[in-house]
Amino acid sequence: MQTRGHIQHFRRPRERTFTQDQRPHTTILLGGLSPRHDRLVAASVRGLGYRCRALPNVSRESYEIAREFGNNGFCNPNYFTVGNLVKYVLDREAAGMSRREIIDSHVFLTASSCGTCRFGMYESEYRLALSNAGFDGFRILVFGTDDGIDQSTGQKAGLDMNLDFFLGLINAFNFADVLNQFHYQIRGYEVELGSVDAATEDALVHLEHFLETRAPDEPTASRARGLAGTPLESKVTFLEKILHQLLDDEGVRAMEAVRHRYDEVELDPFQVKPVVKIIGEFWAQNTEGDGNFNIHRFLEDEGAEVFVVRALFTRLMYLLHMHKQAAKDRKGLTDGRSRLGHYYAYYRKRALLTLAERILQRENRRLLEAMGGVQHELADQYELARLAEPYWNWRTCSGESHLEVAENIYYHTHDLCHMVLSVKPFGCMPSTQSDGVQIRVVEDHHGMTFIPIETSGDSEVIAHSRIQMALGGARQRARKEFADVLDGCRWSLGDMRAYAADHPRLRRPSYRIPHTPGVVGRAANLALHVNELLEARPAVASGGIT
Amino acid sequence: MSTRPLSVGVDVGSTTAKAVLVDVTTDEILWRDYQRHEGRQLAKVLELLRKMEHDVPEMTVDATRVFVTGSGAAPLEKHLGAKFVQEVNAVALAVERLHPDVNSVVELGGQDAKIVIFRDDGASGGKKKIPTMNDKCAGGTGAVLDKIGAKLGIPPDELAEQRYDGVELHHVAGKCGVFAETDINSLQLVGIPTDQLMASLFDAIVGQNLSVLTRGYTLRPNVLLLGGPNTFIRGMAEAWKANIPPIWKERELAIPADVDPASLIYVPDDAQYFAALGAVEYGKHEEDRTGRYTGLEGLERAVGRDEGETRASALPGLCGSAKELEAFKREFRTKPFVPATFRSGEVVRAVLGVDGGSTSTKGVLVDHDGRVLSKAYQLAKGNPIEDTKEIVASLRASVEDQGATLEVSGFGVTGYAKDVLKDVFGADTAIVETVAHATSALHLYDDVDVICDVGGQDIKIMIIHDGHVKDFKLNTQCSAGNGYFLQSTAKSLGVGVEDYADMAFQADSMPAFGYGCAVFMQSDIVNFQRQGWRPEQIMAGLAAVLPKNIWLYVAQMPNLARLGRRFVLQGGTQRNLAVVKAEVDFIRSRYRGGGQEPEIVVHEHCGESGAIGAALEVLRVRKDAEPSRFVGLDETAATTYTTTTNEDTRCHFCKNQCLRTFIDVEVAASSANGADPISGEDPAQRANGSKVPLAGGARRLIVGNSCEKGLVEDVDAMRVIKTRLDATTDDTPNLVEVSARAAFRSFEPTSVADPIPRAVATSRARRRKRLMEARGDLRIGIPRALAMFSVAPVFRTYFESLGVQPRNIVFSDQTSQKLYREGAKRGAIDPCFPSKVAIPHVHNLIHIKHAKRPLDIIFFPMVDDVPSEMADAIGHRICPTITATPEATRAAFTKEGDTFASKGIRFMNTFVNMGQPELFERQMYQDFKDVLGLSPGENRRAIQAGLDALKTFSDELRALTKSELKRLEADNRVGIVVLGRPYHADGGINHTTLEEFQKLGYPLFTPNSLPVDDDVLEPLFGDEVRAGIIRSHLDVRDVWKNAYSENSNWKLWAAKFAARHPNLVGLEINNFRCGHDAPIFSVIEGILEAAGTPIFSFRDLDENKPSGSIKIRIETIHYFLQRLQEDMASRASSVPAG
Repeated sequence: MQTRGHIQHFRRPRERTFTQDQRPHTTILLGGLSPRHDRLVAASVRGLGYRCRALPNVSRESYEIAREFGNNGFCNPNYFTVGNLVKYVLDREAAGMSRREIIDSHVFLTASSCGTCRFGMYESEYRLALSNAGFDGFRILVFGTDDGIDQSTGQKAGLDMNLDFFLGLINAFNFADVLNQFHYQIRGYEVELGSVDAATEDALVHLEHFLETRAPDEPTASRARGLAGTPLESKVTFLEKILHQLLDDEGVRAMEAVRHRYDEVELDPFQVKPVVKIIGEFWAQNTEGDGNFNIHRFLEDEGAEVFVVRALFTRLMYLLHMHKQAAKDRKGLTDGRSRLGHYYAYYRKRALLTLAERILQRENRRLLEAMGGVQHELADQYELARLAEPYWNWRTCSGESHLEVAENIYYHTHDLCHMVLSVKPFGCMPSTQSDGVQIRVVEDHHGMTFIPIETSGDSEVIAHSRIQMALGGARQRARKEFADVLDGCRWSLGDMRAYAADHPRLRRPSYRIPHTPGVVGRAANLALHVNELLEARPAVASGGIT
Repeated sequence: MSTRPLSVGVDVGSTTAKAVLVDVTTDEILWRDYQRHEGRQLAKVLELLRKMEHDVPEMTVDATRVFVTGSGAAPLEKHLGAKFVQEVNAVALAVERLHPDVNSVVELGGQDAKIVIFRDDGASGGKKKIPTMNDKCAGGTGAVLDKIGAKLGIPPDELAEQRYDGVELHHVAGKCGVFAETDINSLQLVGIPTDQLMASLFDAIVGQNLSVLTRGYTLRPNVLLLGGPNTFIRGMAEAWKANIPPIWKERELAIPADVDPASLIYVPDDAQYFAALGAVEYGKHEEDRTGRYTGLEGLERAVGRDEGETRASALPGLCGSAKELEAFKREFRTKPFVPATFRSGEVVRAVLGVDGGSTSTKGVLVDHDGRVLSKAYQLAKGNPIEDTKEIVASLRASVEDQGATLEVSGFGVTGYAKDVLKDVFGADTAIVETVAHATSALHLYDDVDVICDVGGQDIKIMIIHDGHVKDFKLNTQCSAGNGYFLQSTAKSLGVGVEDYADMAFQADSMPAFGYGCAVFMQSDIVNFQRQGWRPEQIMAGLAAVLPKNIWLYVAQMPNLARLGRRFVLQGGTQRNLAVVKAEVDFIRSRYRGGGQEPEIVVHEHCGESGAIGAALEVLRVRKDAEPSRFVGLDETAATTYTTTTNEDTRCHFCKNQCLRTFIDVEVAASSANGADPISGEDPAQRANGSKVPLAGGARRLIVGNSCEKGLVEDVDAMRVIKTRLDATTDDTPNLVEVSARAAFRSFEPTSVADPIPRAVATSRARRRKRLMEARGDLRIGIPRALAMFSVAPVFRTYFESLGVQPRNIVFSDQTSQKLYREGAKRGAIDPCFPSKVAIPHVHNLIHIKHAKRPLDIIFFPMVDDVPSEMADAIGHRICPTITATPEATRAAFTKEGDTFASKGIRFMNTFVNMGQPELFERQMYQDFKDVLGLSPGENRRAIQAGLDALKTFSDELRALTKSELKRLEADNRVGIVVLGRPYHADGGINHTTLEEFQKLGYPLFTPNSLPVDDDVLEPLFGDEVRAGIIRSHLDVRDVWKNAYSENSNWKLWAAKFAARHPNLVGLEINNFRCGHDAPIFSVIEGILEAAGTPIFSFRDLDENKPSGSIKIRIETIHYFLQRLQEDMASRASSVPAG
């Protein structure tokens, strides 16, 4: 055959490395979670001695930039997050920094996976868009769910993925998860507009400071000396850090301080609001602003209470559950290895995964209690898998897998919301498919209000209109629920309001209102609670409150 | 004065405003009106309310409350003290009160469509409402009707009387307004009458709403039709009445025998006011202080200030200053064309060039030196034959009016209508538009690097190297933001297209439009109008966004310096200087050329460049002495024709059953020369034995056929064509088609089943024996979709080797428009087409295959990973859409009752990890042990037999390719590697596009058919393996890091293979919303472009077949490949033998 001659064939871009000696003059950039998560993670990384900063929140401009510099047809999270990074470097350049300086003094740290949706391919898109924008060679560090940091440098890595790093991440995730949920749970009820935002900002600053200044846990000097040079040295250090994490309560104290700050905010909890649980694709449901049509703020403006889950911990628990179940599926399949070795590895993996589950649950619960115990516990992953099972096979482990279906059922059947809003970004493959299943879920569950919206960067008006459409029914349900509750109470709403006026603790964000089965709304649950409190007061006459 | 409580309901939609005044104690409607607002929502509402106040003096501030609804109503809250109600909720409330017996509501608005389904709620005993709305796309709404009605020149009162019943239908895409318009254009060009076009559009809109907006729910009776289009257009209501009852029948909904099902679908009185009435209804449940009317002062102030909502996303106007504008015009305004002058009595010999475009027809006279003597341009009036006659007459007059005589020495055509024009008027050449435009630009300008041609429908970018077209980019099926869109928008704003630029330049600021989709832009226009943007600002904004569509959406080129330095702008749309200004600014801003500036030229014959190219092509190919085929000027003027499209013109030569159009042309008999280029037949003979008589002296042209067999009516003539086609295809292997057939054939495995035990002791054993005996009669249906195109051999063989009869393994029919339309109504989501078509395949199994002979099982496995030879990849996963589609499919058939159970079918969607044999074996065993009475041993053997069959399947394909590659190398010919996914072998998914290349003589290969033998791979990859760049011949990690998607990996590897093989080119094919393809677009292009290997693409395919765009693409690719083969042949001949 004729040949094409000597050709320099296409190769994927060479990846420049981030080495330890570059640390002092290199800033690690983060982005892609909620703005609060990004800030706290950045603080925890700074606490380990790195220069690190969270990218500003995504915007419509980020989206447009990615459409210009990236591939066509990408899914929405990627358009926003890629565009946000490119926008950041372009802004730096506009501020006078040279491209070379920008490339040499920054790295971007992002998560990845190895399938099956295109989340695992995001890193290539970052590189492509940066290259098209003139920043060829900008370093993208990938923190894979399986691979850890992906770089083979031959030199000491710039980012040390050690236990301190992971514990820092866990703590940042935990703080941000709890804070995020708490923030939305109360913001719609604030008496003074903006008071919750101000408290949240103070809380963030406080937690950032805590994470930045918290020294990594080290073994005591005497123990380290005693075990120096022995095989136990590394294990003791490891155990010491784990135990310190588990037993020390500095994080709990930091969170309690946050609670005290929030308790300065006054709420009007008798406002009747439909509770809207937001579910959907991970990024789309957690980001704020243009990335998801400003869904949180829009819902609040429409008179709803926004209910978000603790996103990162739910995700971590989901991953642990998936690994455990996948191992269980393969139990007994030795793949040519010895049966003994296989079973040893299997039980060891199960035990470690179970231990990890327990630790995460415990850590999360500690912070919830520090915030007054007003937030719902993490949903049990085994229950979620059971709930989804008739509709969606949990083994389809891409995107949110069965979580969207399961959460819709879970929050509805546990009387935790009046409506579920599923936010899916344009082009999300798994999320689109699970939407096809939700229609059957809704059919099987009476009284369920479920609305999916697709965020595409376009047509925000229509998306909002669709939400308003579903919200109409949810609002009616919330009102009826409240009216029914009042009908069943001996005391009038006026009596209850007067009682709450006399008892400021009832209006505090961290006041724990008992959840009555079958009753969803905060106002309705509070009415039942105050009615009971009033009933329990012998001195109160039926004509009024004394 | 009475103080009875009154409520005003106002519904402000995208095109109309409706207002009602209701006495809420009696529900009496005291006043109502309905008017188009033409983008001035607030002013129109003010006008309505003023009239209302005037007509009903009781409407005082004290007595009145106001409730508003609709997409444009939100600003009224503050101006009137009104309360906003979401429109679907409003409609539902009105329906609940006025028509409690209704179970479904379909409301079509200007830009949105809504369906509300009322279902019994078991728990409460009441009804629950399931409302749905179109999410972001205005496809299938009134806007499309309006736009196309206007395009076809139908006055509003005539539009209202358009019928559906009894009118011939044609295929029109309903998914998207832009696609619908494209289809209507094409049908119009072949002479389909207006009433048929509109009826087809009604059908498409109803079909779109039934398949998407119902989200798979059944529209149970009674069905209420609401909204402007349903209310005012007779044919729309008829279309619903025709299309809904068959669904009831299929889903076995009980309708009393004495009731006409169509009577249960109706338009109620006051249908257009339901949302406004519902808003009033909503107010009844609100506290008395809600929605208190504050009078008209606020609204008057707002209208006086020309105020809408806040004007977001403002950009500076197209020109910063008058000085800048003047300088721009000096540089870029083309000099006025001065037609040539002739002496009286002079005989002018010239070549005629005609460009029959989608929205306009252009013509030129070019002398034999290539100079343009005269030119003519006119917007299409609906028929290219008629348009061409007028153009030719105009050109002729330009000569003869000077006393000279015109002698046409040659005739060249291009454009959408080129084939019809060639046949009717006898053209000497008919070339594809891309080639015509490039020829023209290269003739007039030197050192051109890039030609950017923007026509009515198409955007074409041609990249030039050494005076030849090196690469081209075309918009796919979407004509986002092109010339026609600008033109029709200007018209809707009351501005003539010739005044567009002057108007747009007046805008000192403009709104920022999103780019990419014309339908979204249409939505943006409405939003911007509501925000108070003025027409000139909107026009400026649209001009400004066009370059983004061209360079970012179509060309996907953020740095234009990579294309070259000298740009020629041409095409009718670039006669608009506002567009040129935006283009020039954009190119300069995106040109990152290391200190260089781009040079931009506007073609001096912008609109006629295609026609000039067509004429120049005649000069290029024809010898002077050769007589032209042109029928003659008098004959052109005298040409008459009739068109016929009905059941008598339908082609029955294949399953497509195309509804063709016969164009019977009468020209002077002497000039009707030339045999048909394809059939070889004299067109006059085509009418032999026709059901449609052909008048004496007339010639018949047949159009609207999707394949060559449809070019004739007579069976014998068809056989001649088929024989010739067969000869070509037999000699040109199409591995795409071979693969699609072979994947579903039986591999005739030997039995691996356990012998059936003779004696059994336990009940368990008895049960197993019974199941084993039943295997021979067990019938298993499998959808011919998605991963089955690669793994069906495994499953078919698995079942057959266990004793299931080959004839009892039933695959659904091949994907077709019919199969899709029949089953798509079940679907609830809008994923990629290959996934979406799975539901219709299961529908086909249930309603066609099972109805013919019962199936016991429908098996649709959830394939998570697959076996692979690519040892060095990260993973071998299947895309999550494919994996999860069986779950969405199951939901579609079980949400309103279990269809499978009611038919006695078991639906099995076993989750399988085929790439992990031990686990795969366990998964199949767990699901099938109690269905087939399996033992672990026979299950294991059957799995192995299946995997062996898969290998045989691949080996056979590879052997075919290997021998064909040798032939290509020996003959210096070109073959095409189709860079697609396994399901692209489905002719229904690739819209039989690939077959066209086979007919043109190019063999086609698929990634899984490329040979993997060392003797083939070593010359291609051996050096790189030895250099350590790749670990093996099948390693793709040198080009793609995230190599976990099996089908992406093979696609990339196939691109690498093509890049290294001199006889191969790449043809990428993918679907809209393909999540795994988007990230590798640039990689695929990079691999082939680095090697200088031509790469072509058919992107974003979905259920719509964009025939026009596909045709241009195929013809252009063919042109390129012919040049490539000529080059290869000449290189080979220049190499000394030995």
